[in-house]
Amino acid sequence: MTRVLLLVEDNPTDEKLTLRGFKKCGVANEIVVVRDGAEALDYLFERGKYAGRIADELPAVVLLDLNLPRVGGLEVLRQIRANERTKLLPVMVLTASKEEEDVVRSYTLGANAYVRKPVDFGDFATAAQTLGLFWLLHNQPAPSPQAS
Amino acid sequence: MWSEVLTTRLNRRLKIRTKLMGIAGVTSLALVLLIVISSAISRRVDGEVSALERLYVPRIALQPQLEAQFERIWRGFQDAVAASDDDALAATGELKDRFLALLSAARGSLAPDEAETLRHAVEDYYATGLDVSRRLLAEEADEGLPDAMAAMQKKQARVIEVLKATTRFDEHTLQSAFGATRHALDAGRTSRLWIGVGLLIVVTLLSLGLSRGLVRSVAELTEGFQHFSNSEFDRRIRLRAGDELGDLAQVANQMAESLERGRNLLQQRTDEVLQVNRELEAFSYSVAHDLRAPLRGMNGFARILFDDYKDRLDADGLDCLQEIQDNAVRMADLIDALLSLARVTRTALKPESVDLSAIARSIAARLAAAEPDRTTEVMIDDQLRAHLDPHLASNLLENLFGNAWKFTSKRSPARIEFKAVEENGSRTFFVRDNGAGFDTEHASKLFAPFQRLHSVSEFPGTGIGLATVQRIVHRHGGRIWAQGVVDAGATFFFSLPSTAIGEQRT
Repeated sequence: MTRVLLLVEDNPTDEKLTLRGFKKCGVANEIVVVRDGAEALDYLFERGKYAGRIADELPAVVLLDLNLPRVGGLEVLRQIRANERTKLLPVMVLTASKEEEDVVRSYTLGANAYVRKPVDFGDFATAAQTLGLFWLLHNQPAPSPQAS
Repeated sequence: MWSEVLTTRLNRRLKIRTKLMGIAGVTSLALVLLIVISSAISRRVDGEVSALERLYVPRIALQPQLEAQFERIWRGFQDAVAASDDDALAATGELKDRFLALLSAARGSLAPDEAETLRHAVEDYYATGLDVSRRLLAEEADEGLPDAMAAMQKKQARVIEVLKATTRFDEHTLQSAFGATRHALDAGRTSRLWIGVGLLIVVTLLSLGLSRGLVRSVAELTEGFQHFSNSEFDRRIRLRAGDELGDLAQVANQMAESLERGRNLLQQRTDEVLQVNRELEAFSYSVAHDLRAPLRGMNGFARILFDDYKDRLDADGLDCLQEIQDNAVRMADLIDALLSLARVTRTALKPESVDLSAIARSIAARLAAAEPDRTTEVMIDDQLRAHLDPHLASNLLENLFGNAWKFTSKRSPARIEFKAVEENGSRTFFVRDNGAGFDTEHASKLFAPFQRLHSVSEFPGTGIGLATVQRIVHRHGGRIWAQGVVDAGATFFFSLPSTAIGEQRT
């Protein structure tokens, strides 16, 4: 079973475009979509409505928008990095503008890469390759992130 | 010391005017006192002198007068006897009376008992003289006559003796009189000296005490004003004098208070303006940011339509689709430019010494690499350094070089220079090109956002670049201006202060 991708995106248009891009390129991984930062944290830390979710393994990668309702993207990233279980989880930050790329650069919060929206599969593939997530694009069994 | 306590207390309560008038009053009073005392002493000395005068001056003339008158009496006897004239003898009575009248007139200057003795002696002599003279005139043998004449001579001598004694100047009396006068004079001089010295000391002490108070007040005022001049308006002058300087201190304190109020108000207004400015910037930022989201949708779905459905559209449809995409891209560029302009004002300045030559070379190389077919001559001076934020320095030169590159696209060879000139001790940098140029008349429009002097079809652009450049220069406290000639090129000058200026915004 391939591991899931977690897409944290509140904008339905961007979500649609992203999902479409992945689907068109034959990414077979399940893509879990959450709408805001709080939900993303619930999913990752198995709290709230995701408490005791069956698939207890972490997503292969998190695609994280910065402008999110309730809990912002940078705060989600901070909490991911602060937690022992998730601190090595690959996170790609989705930026809406060059402005946000600067924000990600200036905060050394530990984003692994950033991808400009709308996430087109080509950009995603490039970013994934620089992160050594080549396997993800080829639907190969995932090595554990802790071991990578 | 009590006088100090007194002057301190006086200093607190009295006006300077009153103090000065007090000193003048005390001085005048002292002078009047001195004059009164002097004149009293003079009067006393005068009294002594005139007493002496009264006593001795009449005596000086009296002795010869009385002697002469007495001589007239005994000569009168002699003459009457010699002429055997009874009438002349009778007339000597008048001479005696005149003598007595003289004596009685001079009674005031003579000792009364001595004058009385003299009178008796004269009366006695006269009686004997008259008797002897009559007996001589009678021309009778008289046995007792020689004795009577001897007695008469004795009495004459006695009169002379008493007269001399009566009118003599007594040395002892004279000495004591002069001694008393001298003593009075000495006492007057000494008391005048002491009174004068005493008054001088009192007036000096008063003046010193009061002026010390004034000097202290002025020192406190000066210190207070120094605080105020250092903008320490929360300080107060602690001067509790009740005089004009105290009033001045109060007025100064009120002034400081209102200045402080004014400053606080100004600070409050400034804070409000800064707050509003921040909110406005945040607003424009989020508007620009949020505008991108629907644009992404339009552009993305137009692309999907093109990728997946282009077979089902004819040429006209495809053209329309292309237009949609081009416009979406252009709008995205505009929004990006706006965001970048906003970023220039939003980010904090971190100025450092920056090698502008190196930055300019890398920008020129990148531009040349993007369009390898163009023939360009780029001349960049070495060692162009300035003190400014490195990110904004790149942004500044990217915009100026980008413009120069863009507007020389129709020249071959295109020439772009980046140099500096020293002028009045400050350095002015400039970027010059031989491109399309502009009319200097429109130079003021160049730096306003979205103002363009060329159409988009002629030279593409957003109209934000030079506004960004101007904002960067202004944020560093510098100046920017431009010169141009249509179809001959443009020059953009900028100068920066020699040291980094403090960040105005928070």
